[in-house]
Amino acid sequence: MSRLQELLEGDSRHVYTSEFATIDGAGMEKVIATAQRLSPWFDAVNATDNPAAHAHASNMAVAIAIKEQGLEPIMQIVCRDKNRLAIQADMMGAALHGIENLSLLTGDDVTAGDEPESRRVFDLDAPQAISVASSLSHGTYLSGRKISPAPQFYIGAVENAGAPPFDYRVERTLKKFRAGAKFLQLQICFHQDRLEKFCSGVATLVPKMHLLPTVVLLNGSRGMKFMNEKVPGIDIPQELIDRVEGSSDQGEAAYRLTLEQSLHALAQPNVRGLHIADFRHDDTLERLMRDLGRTPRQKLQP
Amino acid sequence: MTCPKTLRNGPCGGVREDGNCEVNPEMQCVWAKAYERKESLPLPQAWRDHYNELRPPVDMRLKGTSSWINLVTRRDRQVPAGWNIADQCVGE
Repeated sequence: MSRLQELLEGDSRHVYTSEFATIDGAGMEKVIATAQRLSPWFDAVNATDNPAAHAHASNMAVAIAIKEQGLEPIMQIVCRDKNRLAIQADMMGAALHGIENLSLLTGDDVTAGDEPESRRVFDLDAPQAISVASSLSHGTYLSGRKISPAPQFYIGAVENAGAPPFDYRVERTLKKFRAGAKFLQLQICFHQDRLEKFCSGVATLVPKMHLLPTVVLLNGSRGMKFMNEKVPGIDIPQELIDRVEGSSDQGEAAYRLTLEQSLHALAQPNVRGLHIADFRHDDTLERLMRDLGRTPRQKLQP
Repeated sequence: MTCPKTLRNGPCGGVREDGNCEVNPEMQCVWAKAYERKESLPLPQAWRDHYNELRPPVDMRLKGTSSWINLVTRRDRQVPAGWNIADQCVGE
């Protein structure tokens, strides 16, 4: 059983996950520096899979590197770039290296990235990928060929409580749960009413699903405007942008908003912690974690 | 099947605020449209429930063949032997 599973299924404290940096350069310097920065605060970190349809060092290579640094990886797999054979191969390859946590999502379209001329794959969609990971965990490839010993995956997924059709998002959570997902890292949602409705819907329909809503650390209104205009599925109410933009200290106003969102999210039913995306790369990450009552673990030895 | 991402199990997380498609912003998300219809039309509940069924990965060998013939012969109901093992184990 992965440490993340133990924590989420225990009922003690909040669980915090984060997005690991994307890795482009050769060598381990950035991996080591990022692991040093995140390890005091996070229970597990996501090795992303070509986020926003931009190529980077692969999800599996980064997940292995994270594990070597003593942090617990969650290997993200998107459906955009690989067919069902390659996705199963990646899952089994992850298991080979002792990577147990998966986060399975459809993925942004290729048009969101810097190589929009690419072929999009989507041979599986997210609920199907979850079901395939479950089949592997039960000792069977999609083909029916047996696996022994079977890998022990702790399967997670993603849901966007803030994207239409809003009422459907809870039903989709049930679909993912039935396919085998045990936790959801929610997409950032700037509409508190939508998040509230989603979480209470999940508490009623899928009471065993653990939720980790995302919050983002941003420098100011520029980042908010970018997300609002450029990222499909994310809508930021104008009053929130105005509130940060109109402040004499945008960095502080953006931080206060993130803290407010964090406390609000943690108060919702079925929420077991937070997923934190840090776009600031300054000392506000530590400030946020301390304000949330988290005490740092000992830093990893380099 | 007009979803540009060829998704078979409902709308992705990229549906825009106006209900339009992430890939093609001029087009309404086909899954959002289907959801709207299943909620608003006077349909039997069993038909509505189809929306939330977990549909299997597409059998690419059927590309270019007649979906009507595949329906009648039930060829389109064939799934790989390892498909959806988990659903039998819900509640474990």
